[in-house]
Amino acid sequence: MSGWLALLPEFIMTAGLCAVLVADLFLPSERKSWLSPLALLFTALTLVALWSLKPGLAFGQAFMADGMGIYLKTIILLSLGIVIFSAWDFEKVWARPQGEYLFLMMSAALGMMFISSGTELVLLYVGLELATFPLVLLTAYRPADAKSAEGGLKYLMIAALGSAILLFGFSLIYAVTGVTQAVQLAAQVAKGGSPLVMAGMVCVVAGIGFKVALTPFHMWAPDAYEGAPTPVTAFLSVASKTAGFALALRLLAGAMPGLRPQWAQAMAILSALAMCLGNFAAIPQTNLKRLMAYSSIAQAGYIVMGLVAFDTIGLSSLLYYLAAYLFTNLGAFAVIMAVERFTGSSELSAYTGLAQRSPRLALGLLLALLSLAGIPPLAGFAAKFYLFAAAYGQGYGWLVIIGVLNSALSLYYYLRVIRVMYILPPEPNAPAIPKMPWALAVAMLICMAGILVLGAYPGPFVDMARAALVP
Amino acid sequence: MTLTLTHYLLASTVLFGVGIYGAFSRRNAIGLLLAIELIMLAVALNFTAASNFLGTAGGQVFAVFVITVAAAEAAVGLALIIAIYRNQKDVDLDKLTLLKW
Repeated sequence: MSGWLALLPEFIMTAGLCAVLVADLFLPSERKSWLSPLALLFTALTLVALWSLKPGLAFGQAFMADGMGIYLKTIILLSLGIVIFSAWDFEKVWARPQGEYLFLMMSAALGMMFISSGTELVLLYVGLELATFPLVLLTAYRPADAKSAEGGLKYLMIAALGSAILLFGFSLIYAVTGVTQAVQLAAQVAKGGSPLVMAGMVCVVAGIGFKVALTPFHMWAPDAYEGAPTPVTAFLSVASKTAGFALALRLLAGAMPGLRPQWAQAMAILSALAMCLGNFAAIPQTNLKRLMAYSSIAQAGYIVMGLVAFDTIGLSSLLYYLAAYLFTNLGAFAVIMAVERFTGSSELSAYTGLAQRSPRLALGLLLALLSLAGIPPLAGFAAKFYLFAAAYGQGYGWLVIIGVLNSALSLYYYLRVIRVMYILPPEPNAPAIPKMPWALAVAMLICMAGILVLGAYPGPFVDMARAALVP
Repeated sequence: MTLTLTHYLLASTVLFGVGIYGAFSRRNAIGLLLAIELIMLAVALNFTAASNFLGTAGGQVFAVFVITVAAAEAAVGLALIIAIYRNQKDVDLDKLTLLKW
C-alpha cells in the first residue's frame, strides 16, 4: 500500500490531464478560458503532493521517489506552471485549441516525472516516449504553418532515431547482464565491463546526447525550437532538457557508476563539442528562438560538466544549474512570447529599440540574457561557477578552460541582442507594445525573482540540491 | 550447428546497421520511418533472444513494450507526414528546407 503512495503526484497529474480533456469536451467555447486555471490547479496539487511525500519505492523497485526524483520533478512542474501562466490565453494568440495544448503539455510532464523517478529500463523508456510524443505533436501544433510541421517532423525522426539507439544499448546490456533494474544493473556492471556492455554504454551515451541535444546529436533542436509555438519552445528548452538530464543521472550515475571512467570521458568530449558548436552557431542567428536553441545546446554542454565531475559537488551543482536555467530561460521566453504577441515576430528586427518601446520587457530580457552568459550577481553566474569548480576539482582543467572561453564568446551574441534593444532607436512604424496581460506579467515576475534570488543567495539552494542527492 | 545467443546478436547487429544506414541515406520521410522501425526490430530480436537464453522473462516484456511504442511512433510520424504532404505536396526531406541555419 505504501508503494502506491509514492506514486501520488503522478496519479494527481494523470487525473489532471484527464480532467482537462473532459472539461475541454463539455465546456462551451466561451468558457474555454477556465481550462488554464484548471490545469494550473492540478499542477499545484501535484507539487503539494510531491513535497509532502515521504520517499518510497513503487512497482517493485522500478519507481523510486527519492530526493533527486522529487527535486527534478519540482523543476519540471514549476516550468509547466510558469509556461501555463505565460501562455494563459494560448488559443487567442496562437489560434489553436487550448484544451488539447494543455492536455499534451501535461502528458509530456507526466512522462518526464516518470523519467525522474525511473529505476528500471522499461519504465525509463516508456516515460521517455510519453514525454517525447506529446512534445512532437505540440511542435507540429500549427500544421498550416509549414515551419511548425517541418520542425515537428524533424524532431520526431531524430528523437525516434535517438531512442532506437538508446534501446539498442539497453538490449546489449540486457543480453549480458539479464537484468533491467538500476541497482541490480549497477552490481552486474561493476563486475567488469565486457565488450558488449561497453558497446551498450556507447549507445546509451549517444541516446542521451540526442535527448539533451549535445553536439553532434543536436540537429533537431534548432528546427524544433524555431518551428514550435513559443510556449512549447519554452517548455521544450527547460523541462525536456531537465528530463534528459534526469535520464542521464538515472542511467549513467544510477545504473552504471562502475563504468564512470569510460562514460565520463565520452561525456567530456560531447560537452566540449556542444559548448563550441552551440556558441559559434548562435552568433550569426537572426531569429531569437533559433538563437536560444543554439544557446541551449551550449548550456547543455556546461551542465554535462557536473555529470563528468560525478562527485557530490558536481552532481549538486548540476541540479542547482537546472534550477537557475529554469528561471533564466523561461524568463527569456516570456519576453519573446510578449514581443511575439504584439509584433507577430520573433526575428531580431522586432526588438529594435525595445528599451524605449517597453522598458520592462527590455529589462527582463536583459537580466535573462546576462544570467545565461553568467554575469554576477545573477543566477547563471553562481551556477556556472559551481559547475566549473566541480569539473576542475576532478582534474578536467582543459574542459574548464574551454567552458570559460565559451562563456566569453557567448557574451558576444547575447550583447548583440542587448545592443539591438538598448542602443538602436526604434523604427518609426514599429508596432506599439501595450501593457502586458497580467498572467504573462506574473510569469515574468516569478522568473526575474528566481534569477535574482538564486544569484544573490545561492547557499540555501545549493544545500537543497545537495540534500536531494542523499538517497 | 546449434544457434547460440551470439548468432542472434550478430543478426540483430546487422539489422541495426541496415537501419542506421537507411536512416542516414534515405531522403524520403516514409523510408526514414521504416529504417527506424528496422532498428526497433533489431532491439526486439535482441531482447527476446537474450530472454530465451538467459531464462529471464524481463526481456520479453521489454520487447512487447518496444513493439507497442514503435506502433505509436509510426502513428505520430505518419500523421505528421500527411500534414506536411497536404501543405507541400512532397515528403522528400531534402526539400524540407524552410529551416536551415
